[in-house]
Amino acid sequence: MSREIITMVENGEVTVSEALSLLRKVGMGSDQPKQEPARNERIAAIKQQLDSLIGLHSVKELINEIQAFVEIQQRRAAFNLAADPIVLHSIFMGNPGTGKTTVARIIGQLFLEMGVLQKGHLVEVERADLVAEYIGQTAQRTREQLRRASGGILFIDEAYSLARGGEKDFGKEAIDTIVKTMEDQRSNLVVILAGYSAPMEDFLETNPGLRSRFPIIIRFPDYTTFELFRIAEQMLQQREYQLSKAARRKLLAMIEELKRTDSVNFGNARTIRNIIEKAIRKQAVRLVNLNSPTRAQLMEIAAEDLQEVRDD
Amino acid sequence: MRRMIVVGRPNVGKTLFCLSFAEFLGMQSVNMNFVSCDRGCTSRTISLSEAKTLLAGQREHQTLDLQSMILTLPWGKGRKQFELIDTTGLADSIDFEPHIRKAMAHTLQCMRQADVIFHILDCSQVARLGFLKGIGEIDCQIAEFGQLKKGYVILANKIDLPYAAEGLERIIMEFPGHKVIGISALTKSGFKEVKEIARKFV
Repeated sequence: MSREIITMVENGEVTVSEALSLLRKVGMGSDQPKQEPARNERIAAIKQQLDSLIGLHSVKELINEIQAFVEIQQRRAAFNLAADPIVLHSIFMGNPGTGKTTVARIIGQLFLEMGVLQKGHLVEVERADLVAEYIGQTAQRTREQLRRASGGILFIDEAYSLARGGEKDFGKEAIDTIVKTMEDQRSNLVVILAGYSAPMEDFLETNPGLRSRFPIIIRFPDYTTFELFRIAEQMLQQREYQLSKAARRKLLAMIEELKRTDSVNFGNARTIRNIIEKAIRKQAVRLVNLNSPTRAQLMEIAAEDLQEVRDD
Repeated sequence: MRRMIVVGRPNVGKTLFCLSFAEFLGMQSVNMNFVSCDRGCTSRTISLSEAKTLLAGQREHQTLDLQSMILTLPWGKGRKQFELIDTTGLADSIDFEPHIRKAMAHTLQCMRQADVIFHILDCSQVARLGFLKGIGEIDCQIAEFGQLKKGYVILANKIDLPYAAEGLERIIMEFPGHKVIGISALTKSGFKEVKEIARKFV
């Protein structure tokens, strides 16, 4: 189109200003270079968001890999080279509070920008959303959720609970329906099975067909003490609070203690958030009776605020 | 490497601006690529003073090729390069010479692909002839078109001439929302600001 307009100028059919206004209307201000950086920039912004998550190095690396793979497959397709079909169904394994849902959300955005998904939204479901009480209703209910997630990501939390009830449980029906739909809608739906590591492994052992259908397995490692501390600092910074020196020492000690004592039930980042939120409330109680607290006081979390905070 | 293109009506001083800007950035001679629309591309290294007498002048449509040169800007501790492209003047009317039409089409083509547009206006003419005559429809169209680009700057040239300041004022008034810089390609006034802009987009 823009080519023709320029030829028209060459042949003296239109004036240059007419041609310019035509070019602008076609929206071809610069067809190729205009769109490319915009898309790249958006992808870069999303990856920046991913990179700003603390820790999770292996996860970030894997997502980079996936992104590069998708990008290259798309470019290969543009040159009519044999391109592998892109299957992005994945399994997220990790202890509670290791960032599974957060990463899933970012991945949705990433796939949307890369043109893999049409909408890129995240539909979070659990067993109760998929499995019904009576015979014949489970497939319907599951299909309803799948329809909602179409064009985006279906994120099934604690996926192993679908296989827990034994032979007669309807969970099996839900799994069958999901597997069927995700094969059919391969290009427009990404299913993510998420759950804690150990039961997830068992779940995959007992359903051997699943492993091959979910080629991407992302393991979310537990955060280290220092990573958790940085997460706490980041949370406080977002809320415009600061830890006093004593409070920093205390928080580090607390995290260390929590990690050591109940490593199984430890909620990782979620526990940290609870600790922070509780500390903020404590600080409020401490300051509410002061006449005129200063700005610094309003921002500071002292060691005593962290005192009784305990996850329960 | 970013491509910055210099456009405007014939005889507003596009070529002289390009050469003076190169001089302002500390070049003594430039390697200039002459990309013609039908005769291919020739390249020669030319000293700036020679180029000025050879390429810039009073006649309309003196420049018929795209003349591009690679310039460097200091960037942090190092330097960064960009391409400055001088073009054929875009006129309002349809020229009866086919080679001039071709050159204009070539300019348009190049404009589509450029990252940054430096749009040169003649502010002395605005002062002399009034806004409507001094600025053509073509300039308004270029300004509209410029909004699609990453960078678009209006350079009001010939600020050294008498009454040009009034013209500059008028231009600033008529193009709200666009960055307008008053420059003189002859005396290099206002070039510091242009350099800042170039640094921003390079």
